[in-house]
Amino acid sequence: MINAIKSLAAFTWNSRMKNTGVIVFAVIALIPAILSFLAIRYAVEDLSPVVFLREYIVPINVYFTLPFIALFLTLPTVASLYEKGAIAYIFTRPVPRWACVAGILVGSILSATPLLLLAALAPSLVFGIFMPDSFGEVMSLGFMHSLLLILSVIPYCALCVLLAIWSKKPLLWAAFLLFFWGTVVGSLPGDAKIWSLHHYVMGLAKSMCGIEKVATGLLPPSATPPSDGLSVLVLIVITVGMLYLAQLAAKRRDVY
Amino acid sequence: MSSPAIECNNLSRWYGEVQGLAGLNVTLDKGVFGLLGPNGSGKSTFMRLLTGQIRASRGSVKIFGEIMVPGNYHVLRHIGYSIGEDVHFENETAVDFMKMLAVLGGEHGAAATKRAMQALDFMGMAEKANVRLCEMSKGMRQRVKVAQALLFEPDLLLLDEPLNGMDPTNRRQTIDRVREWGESGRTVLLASHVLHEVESVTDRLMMLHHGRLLAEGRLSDIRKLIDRKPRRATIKGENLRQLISELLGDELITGFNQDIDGRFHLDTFDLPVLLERLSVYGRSGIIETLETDDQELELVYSLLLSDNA
Repeated sequence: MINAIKSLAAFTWNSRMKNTGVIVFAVIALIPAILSFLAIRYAVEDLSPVVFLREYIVPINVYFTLPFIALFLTLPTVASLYEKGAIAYIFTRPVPRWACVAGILVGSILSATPLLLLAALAPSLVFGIFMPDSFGEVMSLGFMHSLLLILSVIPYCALCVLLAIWSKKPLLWAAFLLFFWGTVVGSLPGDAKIWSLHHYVMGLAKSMCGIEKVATGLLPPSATPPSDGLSVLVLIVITVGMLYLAQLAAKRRDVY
Repeated sequence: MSSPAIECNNLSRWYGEVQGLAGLNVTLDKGVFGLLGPNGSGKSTFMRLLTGQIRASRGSVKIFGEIMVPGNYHVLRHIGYSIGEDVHFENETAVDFMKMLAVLGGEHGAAATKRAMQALDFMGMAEKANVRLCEMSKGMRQRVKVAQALLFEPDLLLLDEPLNGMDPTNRRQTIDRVREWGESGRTVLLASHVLHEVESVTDRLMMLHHGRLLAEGRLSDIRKLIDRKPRRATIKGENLRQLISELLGDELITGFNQDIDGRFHLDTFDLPVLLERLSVYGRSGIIETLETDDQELELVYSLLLSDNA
C-alpha cells in the first residue's frame, strides 16, 4: 500500500512539476520576494526587516499564496484525471481508493513544498542580502514561516482533493471555501471565526512567526488565538476528515 | 477459478433518463468473446460495470463469483482492462507509465520494471519503452494500453476498442496476441463496433443495441444470416441501362431500382463479383460514383432487429 501511495505521489509530482505551468507558480511564489526588494529599494529609513516580514509578507503568504498554490496545484491534477477518464487506469488496480486519494494528496503537498519554501525563504534572503545586519533574525523567521506554510498547506490540499473528486466544478467551490470560508470568515471579529480553518493557521502564525497585527489593517489576526496544540489538532482532524470524505466520494463518483 | 469469469444478473444502468444498459443476463466463462455494438450501444457502460467504475442501477455483476461494486478492489486482481479512451498520461514514458501501474498492482522496484518490460515486450513495444506517450502514434499508444492490461497476467482481460487507430501490421499483431491470451485458458472480452475486427479474433460474440442484448452466440450463425440476404451496391452515371441489362443477363443482379436522384440500387448475393464487374466500368468512366452497403454491422443489426420484430 505504501508503494502505491508513493507511486501516485510521484505521478502527481511529475504531472505538476515537470510542466511549464510550474513557472507561473514560481512567479506567484516570488511575489513576496519582489515586494521585499521593492520595500528595501524605496524604503523609509527606519524599515525593520522583521516587522515588515511579520506584518506584511507572512499575511500575504497566508492569505494569498498558500490558498492559491494549494488550489491551482491540486485541483488540476485530480480534475484532469477525471475529465480525461484517466482515473480509470488508477481505479481499476487492486488498490483501495483511500490509498489512491492519499497518494495524490501526498504528491500535491510535495509539489507545493518547494513553492512555499520559495515564498517564505526568498523574502528573508532578500532582506538578508540587502540588509546583512538582520540576516540571522530574518532567516530564522523565514524558517518558521516556511514551516507554518508547509503545515498549513496539508489541510488546504486535502480540502482541494476532496472537492476535485466530489464536484465537477471544483474550482468554484475551492475558491469559495479557501478564500471566503478560510480567509474572510477566519478573520471575522467575534466567535464565528472558530469555524474557519484559517483561524487556526493564523493562530499558529502568531505563535510561530510572532504576528500581532497586519500592516494593511485588513483581515487582522485574532487577539485571542487558539493554542498551538488545538491548532495542530484541528489541522490534523481536517486533513483526516477530508481524506475520509474524499475516498467516499471516489467510490461514489462514476468514472467515464 | 471454478466460478464463471462474468455473471450478470439483470444488470442495468441508467444515466438520468437515458438507459445505458438494460437487464443484461449473460454468463461468460473461458475463451475469447466479442462484444459488438455501434457507438452508444452500451459496450463501454458494460465494461465500466465489470471493472467497478460505475454502480449498477439494478441487478448485479459477479466476477469469478465475487460481486463487483466500486471500491471492491480485491476482485480487480483478476482483471486486466484496457479503456476505450486514449492513454492520457502523455508526459510519462511507456515504461514509467507501466511501472506506476505495476506498483499500484502490488509490485515494486526492479520487479515492477521487469513486469512492465515483459508486458511491453509481449505487445512488441519493448523498443519504445523509453519514448514518452505523447511522442507515440495512436497505434503505439493503443498497444501500450493493451500491454498495461496484461501486466498481471489477468484471468479476465477486458479490451474496449483496442484496435482503434492501429495500422494493419499493428492490428494483426495485436489480434494474434489477444487470441493467444484467450487460447491459454483465460477469458477475453473484446468490445468493438467493427464486425470484422471481432471476427478476426473470435467466433463467439454478444451484440448490444441501445443497451439491450440483441444476440449472443456464434458469429458463423450470423454470417449465415447475412449470406441469406442480398447485398446492395448503388451506382450513378450516364448511360447505365446497357450495363444493367448485361448484369441482369448474368443473373448476378437479383433486383434493382432507380431513385429520384438517378442512382441505381443493385441487389446481389455475390457483392465481391458485382464490385469487380462494376470496377471495370468505373475505370472506363461510365460509372461516376459507386457505394455499397458495406457497413456489415449495420446490416447485421437491421437483420436481427427485423427478425426480433
